[in-house]
Amino acid sequence: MSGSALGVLAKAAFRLGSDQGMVNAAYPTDEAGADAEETRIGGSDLIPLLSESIDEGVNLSFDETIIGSPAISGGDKVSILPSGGLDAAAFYDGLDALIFAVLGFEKPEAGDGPVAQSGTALTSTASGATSYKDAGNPFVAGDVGKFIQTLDGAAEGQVRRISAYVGAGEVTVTPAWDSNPADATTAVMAQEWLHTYECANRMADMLWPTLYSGYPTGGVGTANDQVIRRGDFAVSKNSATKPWVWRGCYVNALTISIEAGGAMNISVELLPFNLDRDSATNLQAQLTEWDWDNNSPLFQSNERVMFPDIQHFRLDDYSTGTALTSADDIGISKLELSINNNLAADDLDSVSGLYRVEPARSSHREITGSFSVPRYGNNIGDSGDLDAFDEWRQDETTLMANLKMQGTTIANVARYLNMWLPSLRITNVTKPVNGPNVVVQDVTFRCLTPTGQASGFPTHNLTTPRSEVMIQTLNQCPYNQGRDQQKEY
Amino acid sequence: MDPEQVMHEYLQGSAGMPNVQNAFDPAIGSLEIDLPYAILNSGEFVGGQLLIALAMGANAWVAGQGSNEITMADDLDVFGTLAWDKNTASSGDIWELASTYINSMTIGSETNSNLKASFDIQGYDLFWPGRTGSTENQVADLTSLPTDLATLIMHNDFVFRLNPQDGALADADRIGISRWSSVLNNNLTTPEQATPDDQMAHTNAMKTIQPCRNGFREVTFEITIPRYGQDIGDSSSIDAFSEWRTNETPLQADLMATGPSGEEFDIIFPHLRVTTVGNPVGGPAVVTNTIQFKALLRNSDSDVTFGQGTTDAGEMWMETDDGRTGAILA
Repeated sequence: MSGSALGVLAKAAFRLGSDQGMVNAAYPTDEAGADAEETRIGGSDLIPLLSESIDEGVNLSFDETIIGSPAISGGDKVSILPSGGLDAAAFYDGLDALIFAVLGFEKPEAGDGPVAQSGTALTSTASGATSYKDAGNPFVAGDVGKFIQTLDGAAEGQVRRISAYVGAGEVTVTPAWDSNPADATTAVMAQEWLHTYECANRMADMLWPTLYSGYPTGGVGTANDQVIRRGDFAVSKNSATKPWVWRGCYVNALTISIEAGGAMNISVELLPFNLDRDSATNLQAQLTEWDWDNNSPLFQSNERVMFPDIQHFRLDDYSTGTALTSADDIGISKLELSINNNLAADDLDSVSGLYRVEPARSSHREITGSFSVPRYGNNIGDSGDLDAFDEWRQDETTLMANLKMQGTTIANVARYLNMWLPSLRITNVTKPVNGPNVVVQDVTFRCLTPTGQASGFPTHNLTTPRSEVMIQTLNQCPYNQGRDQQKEY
Repeated sequence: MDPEQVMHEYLQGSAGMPNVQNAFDPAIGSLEIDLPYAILNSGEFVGGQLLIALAMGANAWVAGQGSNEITMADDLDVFGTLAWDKNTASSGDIWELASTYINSMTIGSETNSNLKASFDIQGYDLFWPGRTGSTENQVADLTSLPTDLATLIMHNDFVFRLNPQDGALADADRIGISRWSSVLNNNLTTPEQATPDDQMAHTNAMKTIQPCRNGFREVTFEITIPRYGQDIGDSSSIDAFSEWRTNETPLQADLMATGPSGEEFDIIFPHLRVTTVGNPVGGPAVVTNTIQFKALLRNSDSDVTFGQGTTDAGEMWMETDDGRTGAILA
């Protein structure tokens, strides 16, 4: 067989979760386990790939026993430890799965994760397997392509796409409900959704109620549901063959960077369980299904996150009573934020054999960053001091920061990517005279566990401990990344 | 020369450094050459095959074929003299490195280029014009050497074949490569100093004692295939290298170069194992395939032979049929 292997025709996707369902999910220990866990990639999973360099990590031990010859006679395979990275352009849609995978938490209550924007409140009369009926007649033909998120009752926690307009009081949804909305089941219909992602203590598979006591179990969720922060990363390298599927990928680190005159990019370090080039789940014929439009005809074109999209970068003293304001705006020309989970990646045991034991934290999570201010000589924010960065560093002042990037309006609201850093310390400031050029300030910082709820920041849903960073995305993705809501492919 | 020196760092009431003395005078360095098919001109040979033979250590002349078989020696005990004229004088001494061992050799070629080799060398003593004691060779010895160049061995002269030891290499096993290289590391002792020794005939403590193997010999091989997406050889799989790595499949390969006048330069690997395979999507460019191998001792399933049908136990063999009229290491 042969075919073109052109980088320009390649595409990549990432999808969280287990094909065994959240109750039966388990990190694989062998090829068969990985096959069972592999999820099918589809219309919500495409990522904006720039490049990838993941290696299968087959390690060999060569025989160096001394038997009278200076040459090596043989070798044996001792481990398979895939690792590597991918670079992607930052778009407003398409990165939610990766962000969730590196941070680990999105509030699971329906209506809170994600939050519908400009949504239409619904109340069901008894709906069928593929319908939502509302005696209030809220629907119009133009609602086809929107999503319905059920909020209570036995049907709570589901998200379905409206595939057809039946009448003002009924729409058809796809795929079929797992639990049909009963009479009086409330829901919300929307096209734009706000996600808030926070850091979780543990990244390995765990029960949802252990991570978050408020996990709803009255609807389709159960007390035995697991929150899964690993996924499958698939790359189509050759149009004539099946995609490469890296199964069971944990995200060890993710770096976001943006610079004046350019666009935002992300770099991701993955720890896959293994590679399948002959997947029984993800076939060559399905490559055309890989997309980020959630199969919705209403999907508005995806947009890159560009430097001019930056609404503000704000930095000032940490406070639980005084929010950041425009007076705290600082003009930056560059920013980078790195989130490193420091997962143990190379452990083997007699059960896992050649493959790695499920990665787990082996050190503190490290969230660090840097930014550049293109001029030295202006007062910093409302500090009244052009050397405020140096003094904050010297005085070990705890600060808080917010970087907001906003794109165009989707349908009713503008899409955005908002990074909240509720507690940080400056670790270094440099402003050297490098020659005849203008003097630039470079500042590095480290994010810390906040001691309280920073004023004006999104509410921490995990409080023991609170998250050092919160990332919000307002886009067209209707699915909570930690719940089993994405039923379409 | 790479002299090691001792600073006078004892405390003597001054912040400055009062003196420095030479402690050891090893002679090490590197050498790069273009490799032609060897020719004989006016009784002199032109070619780089002697350096290759010194690096590998063993050599046999096959009179019937008129070819040289170069193989690996267990105990590397061959060394040579390197001499070069830096054109600073019209007569007299030249630069000369005596008793030169080859610690490592890198040989390879790539698209739009010729076969090249580089060597990490260590010698006993380095002479230069003006140094006390004359060199074995003089300017006149070098200026009398033939100046017409032999034909370079080009990348496009090579045919590369590889298979999983499932029979003699054939046309069906040909694989198009845009680049290849092989590294032989003899892991010799680094220059070592010792006081004079009668048994070793070592008389000068400023010079190194004779190098010898200090570890396993390592031979690696790397190729780049310009297109990922073509079946590998007759394997019917575009991912054959990855599969061979995962399955620990032993392989065999040869690189056969044929010159315009029928000269030959062959490199044979009787037993290879894939160690890494790289075919990342690095951007919008075409996806290439880079594979690295470890060369191992010949195993019983290997089918490759020298031209006369014989084999050798070593990890890499070379066979040359050119202007040479006798063994290289005569």
